[in-house]
Amino acid sequence: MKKKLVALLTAGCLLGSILGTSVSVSAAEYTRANPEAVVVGVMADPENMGPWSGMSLGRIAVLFTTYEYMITREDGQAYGVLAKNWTEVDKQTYDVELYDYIHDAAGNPLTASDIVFSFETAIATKNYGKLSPVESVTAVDDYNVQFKFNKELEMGEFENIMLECAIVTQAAYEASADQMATTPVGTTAYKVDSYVPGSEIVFTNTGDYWQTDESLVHGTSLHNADKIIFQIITDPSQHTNAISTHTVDISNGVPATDIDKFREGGEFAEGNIVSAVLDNPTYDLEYNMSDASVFQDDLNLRLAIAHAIDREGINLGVFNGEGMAVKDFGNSKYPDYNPEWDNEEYFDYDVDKAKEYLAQSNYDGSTLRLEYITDSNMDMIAQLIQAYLGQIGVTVELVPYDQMMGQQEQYNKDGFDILLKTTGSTDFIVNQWKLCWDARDYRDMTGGTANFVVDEKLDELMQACLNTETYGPESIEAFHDYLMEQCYGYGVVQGPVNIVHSAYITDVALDMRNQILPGGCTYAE
Amino acid sequence: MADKAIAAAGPDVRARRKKEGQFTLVMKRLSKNKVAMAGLVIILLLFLAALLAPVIMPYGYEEMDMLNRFAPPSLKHLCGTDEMGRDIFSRLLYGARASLELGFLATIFSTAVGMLIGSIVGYFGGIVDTTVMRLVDILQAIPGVLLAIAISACLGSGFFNTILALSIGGIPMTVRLLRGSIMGVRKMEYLEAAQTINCSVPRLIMKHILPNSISPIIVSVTMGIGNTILMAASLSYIGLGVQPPTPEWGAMLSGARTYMRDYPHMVLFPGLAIALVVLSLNMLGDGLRDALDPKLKQ
Amino acid sequence: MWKYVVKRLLWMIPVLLGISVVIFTIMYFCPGDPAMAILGNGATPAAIEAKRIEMGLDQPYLVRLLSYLNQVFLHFDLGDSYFQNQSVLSGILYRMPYTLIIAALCMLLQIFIGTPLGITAATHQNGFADRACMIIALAGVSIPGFWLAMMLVLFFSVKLGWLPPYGVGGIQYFILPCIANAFAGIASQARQTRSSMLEVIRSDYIVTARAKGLSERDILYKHALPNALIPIITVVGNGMGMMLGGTVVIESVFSIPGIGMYTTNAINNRDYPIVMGGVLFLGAVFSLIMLLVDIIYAYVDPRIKAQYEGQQKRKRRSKNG
Repeated sequence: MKKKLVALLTAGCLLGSILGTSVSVSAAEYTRANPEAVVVGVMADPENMGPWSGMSLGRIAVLFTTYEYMITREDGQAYGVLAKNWTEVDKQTYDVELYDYIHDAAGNPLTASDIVFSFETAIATKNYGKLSPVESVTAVDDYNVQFKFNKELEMGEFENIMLECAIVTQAAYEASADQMATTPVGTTAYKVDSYVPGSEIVFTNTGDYWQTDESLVHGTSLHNADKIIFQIITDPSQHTNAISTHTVDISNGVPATDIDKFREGGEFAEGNIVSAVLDNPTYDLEYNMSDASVFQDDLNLRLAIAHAIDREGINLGVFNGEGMAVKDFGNSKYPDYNPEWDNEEYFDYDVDKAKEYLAQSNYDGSTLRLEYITDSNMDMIAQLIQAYLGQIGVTVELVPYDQMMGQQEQYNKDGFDILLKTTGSTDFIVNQWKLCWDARDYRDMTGGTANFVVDEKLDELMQACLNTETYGPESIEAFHDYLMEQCYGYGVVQGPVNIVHSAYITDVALDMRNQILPGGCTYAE
Repeated sequence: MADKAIAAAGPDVRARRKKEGQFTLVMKRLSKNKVAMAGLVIILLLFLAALLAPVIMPYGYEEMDMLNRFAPPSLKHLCGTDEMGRDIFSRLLYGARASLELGFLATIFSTAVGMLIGSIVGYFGGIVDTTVMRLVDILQAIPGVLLAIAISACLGSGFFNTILALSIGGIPMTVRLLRGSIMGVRKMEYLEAAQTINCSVPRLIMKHILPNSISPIIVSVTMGIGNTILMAASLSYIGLGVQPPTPEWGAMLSGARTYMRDYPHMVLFPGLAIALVVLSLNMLGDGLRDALDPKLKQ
Repeated sequence: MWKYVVKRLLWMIPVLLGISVVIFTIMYFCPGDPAMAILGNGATPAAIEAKRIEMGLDQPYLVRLLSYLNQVFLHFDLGDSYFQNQSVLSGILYRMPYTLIIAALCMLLQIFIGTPLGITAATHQNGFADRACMIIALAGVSIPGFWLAMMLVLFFSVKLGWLPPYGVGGIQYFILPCIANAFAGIASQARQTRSSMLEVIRSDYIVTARAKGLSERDILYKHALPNALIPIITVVGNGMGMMLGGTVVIESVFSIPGIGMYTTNAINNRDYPIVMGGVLFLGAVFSLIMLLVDIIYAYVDPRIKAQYEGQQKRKRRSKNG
C-alpha cells in the first residue's frame, strides 16, 4: 500500500511539475556553484587531452586551459605567447625566438628542442593537415627555432601553423604513461588535478606560471581562477538546469529557447547574466555544380533559390533573432570584411524575383535534395528552406546525415543538389572562403572546388586573395563580387553563442573559437 | 495435380472450420474482457485516424506559421503549435501513420523472421537447433539498443532503415519463444499421429505446430509494438530514426524536449499519443493472453 | 551441474567470436571514416588518405577481421581507441562500475517494488489494489524513459533542489537515473509476477492447501510464490540484459559516463575498437547473467535440475550405445 502511495505521489508530482508555475530563486546577489572553483558546463568529453590528438567539440573546450601555443590571436591580431618574436626570412623560412624563462606546469624548462619535438611529433601523428607545409623545424640554439616550409605561405598561414600545434616539453611528454591523454602537462598556469572521463575535469592553478611580466600575458594565458572544474553535460536542457540550480557557474550549452529565462525578468534572471556574441561559423548553401546536378549550367535556378529564402526569417525562427543574416560567404566579424557589403543587396528575399528567375531557368519540377549534417539547428534551417522553396514551387527532399556520413557524402556528387553546411575561420574571411572555394585543396576529390565548381577565373581570384602579395581590399572585393555574380553558393545566417553565467563572473573571456576561457574571465571580489 | 488439390482441400476446409471454432471461442472470451475491448477499440480508432489523416487534418503537417509558434492548445489549434508554428494535432494525426507503421512493421517483420527460424529450429531439433540457437545467442547477446544504434548509424536515417534497425534486435526473442513452445508440443500424440499418416514437414509445421504454439507469439507481438514505438522515441533522442519533416511521435517527443519547460503541451500530446497506443496494445495483449490461455479461464 | 556450467562457459567462446564477427561486419560496412573524424572538417583529401593508410583502414575486410580476431582471442587485447590514447579495456573497466551500479540498483528496484506490486495485484484480483497496480504497471510500460527522467529532474532537482540534476558521485547521483530507468522494469516485473501468481493460485495444489486449512499467508509465501518464481526470474534476467546496453539514453540525459554512452559515442565517431570492445564486453556479461539465471532456475526448481542431469546421462548412454 505504501509503495502504491509513493508511486501515486510521484505521479502527482510529475503532473505538478508540468502544470506548476514559477519557482523562487534564493535572494542572494549571486550564488557560486563551488566556493573554491569556477565550474564550467561543457557539452562533450575531450576523451583525449593529449596535445596532438584530433579535434573534437570536447577538446576545444579545454584546449587553452591545458596548453599554450607559440602565439595566440585576439580580435584577429596575433600575439606571441611562447614566441618572443618571429621574422620572415623569406617566403619559405621563418625564424622564431622563444622566451628564455619558460617552464611547464611540472617545472620542466622549455627550450628550442622541445619546440622541434612538439612539431615533429604532431606532424608524425598525421592528425593535422594544416601542418603539412612544414618541411623542417630546427633548433638554431637553445631559444631560436627555424621553420622551413615546402611552399610559399599564404595569408595567415604561418600564424595558423603556429596555432595548430600545442607545445609541451619532451621531458613531461615522456614522463606521461598515456601520452598525456589523461594527465596533460602544458605550459599554462593550470594542471589537471583529476579527470573523471565523461564527467569532470579539475584544473588547479600551479601558482607558478612562467610568464611573470603581466603585460605579456594574453587572454588565452590568463589565470584568474584558482581552480577550474569542467563538467561534461551531454543533454542541452540539462545545461539550463545546471545553471538554474547553481550546479555550474558558466555554460555555453544552454539551448536558445531557454536563454530568455536568464535575462531580465526571466524565471532564473536573479544572480545570472547572459553574454551573447555572434559565432564565427556561418551556415552556407553550396550548390552541387557537378554534371550530376541541375545547377551546373543554370545560373537562373541558383539565383531563384537564393532569392526565395528569407535569411532574416531563418534567423528569427531558429535563433530567436539573436543570430544575423549574413551578407557574404562569411560573417562581418572578420577584420578583412568590407563593411560596405552590409548595405549591398545580397540575394535579398523576394518571392516575385525568385519566381521570375525560376521561370527563366530550366527547372523541370524535379525534386531537389538538400543535404546537411543533422543537429537541432540544422534540422530547423533545412525545414525552413524546404518551406521557402515550396513557396516558389520547388520541391525539396531533406537528406540528413550524421557527422561521419555527412563529412564523406559532401564529396559525393550524386548524393545531393544543395548542401547546407557550416564553415568558419578564426582569422580572415579569405580563409573561410578557402574552406569551400580553394580548388587546390579539393581537386583530387571533386575535380574543382569543394562543391565541384570548375572555374578558372574563380580559382584565380581565390588565389589572389590568399597570396600575401596580392591580398588586399581589391582582391577581396573582386572575389566577393564574382562569387555573388556566379552564385555558386552563398552565406545564409550566422548563429549566436549564448554564454549564461553567474553574476559573480563579471566579464566573460572567450577564445578565437568562442569557447569559454575560465582563466581569462573576471570574477567578483 | 488436380487430384492432389482436391485431396488437399478436404482437411483444409475442416481445419479452417476447427480454427474458426477456436477463433470464435477466443473472441467470445475476449469480448467479455472490457479492458481488452477498450484497448482494441482505441487501436482501431487510431488506425482509422491515421488512415483518414489527410482528410481530417485541420492543417497540413508541414504547414508553418512562424508568427504563431508555441501557441498553447486552443480551439484553433487543439494541441497547440510547435517551434515552427505547425499544428501539433495535425502532426499527431499524420504522425500516427509513421509511428503505427513503424511499430507494426518492425514488430511483424521481426516476428515473421523469428517465427520462420523458430519453427524450423523447433521442429528439426538436433544439429540444426544447436547451430541456429548459437547464432541466436550471438544476436541476443548484443544489447538491442546498441545494435539498433549501430545499424541505423550504418544505414543512415530513413523510414525503412529505422524499421530494419528496430526489428533485428527482436528476432531472437521470437525464435526462443516459438522454439520453446514447439519443443513443448513436439512430443504430443497428435503430431505423431500426423506423422504416421505421412504429413509433409512444412505442412506439419504450418497446420499443426504453429496454431498450437501461436498464443504467446500473439501476446508478445501486441506488447512488442508498444516497445518498438518507445524504442523509436529513444533512437530519435540520440538523433537517429525517422527524420524531419515527416512527423513521427517519438521524434516529435524528443524534438520537443528542450521546450518542455516552457511549452509543456509540446511534449504532453506526443507523449500521450505514445502512451495511448502502448497502453491500449498492452490492454489488448493482456486480454488476449487471458483469452488464449484456457488455464486462465475463470 | 558443474559440468554443465563449464560446458556453458566454453560455449561462450564461439558466441563471443560470433559477436565480434557480427559487430565488426556492421562497423566495416558503416559509411563514415574515422580518419576523417580525427582530422576534422577542414581536412584535405590527401591528408585523410594518408591518415587512413596509417590507421590500416585501407586493408581489405578479411585482413582486418582476422587481425582483429587474432588480437582479441589469441592475445586478449581489445586494442586501443582511435581517439583516446588509451586501451579499450581500461576504458571499459573505468566505465563499467557506473553501468553496473545503475543496472544493479534498477534490478533491486524492479525486484523489490515490482514483485510485491504483482503479488498484491494477484491476491486482490480485480479489486482496487489490482487495478491500481496495473495502472501503475501500464503507465510504466507506456512512458519513454528519457521523458520521465526529464520530468524527475525538473521536479526534484530544479524545483525542490533535493537531488543533483546530472553527473556522478555519491549515491544521490544515482537516485533519479535509477528511478527513471527502472520504472519500465518495475512495471513489467509487476505484470509478470501477477500473471504467474494468478496461474499458480488457481492450480490444484493451492486449492488443496487451502482445503487443508493452511493460513492464506503460508499458502502465498510457502507454496504459491516459489512455484511462480521461474517466469519471474526470467523477466529479471532479461531485464538485466536489456539494462546493460539500454541505459544509454539515461546515461545521456544524466551525463553518466557508462558503457552505453562510451559505445554510442564511439559508434558516432566510428571508433571501431571501442564499439567492438564495448559490445563484446556487454555480450560477455550478458551471457554470464544468462548462465546465472539458468543456475538459479535449477536451484529454485528441482525439476529443471533433474532435467539437466537426466539429459547428460541420456546423452552419455546414447554415445556409449
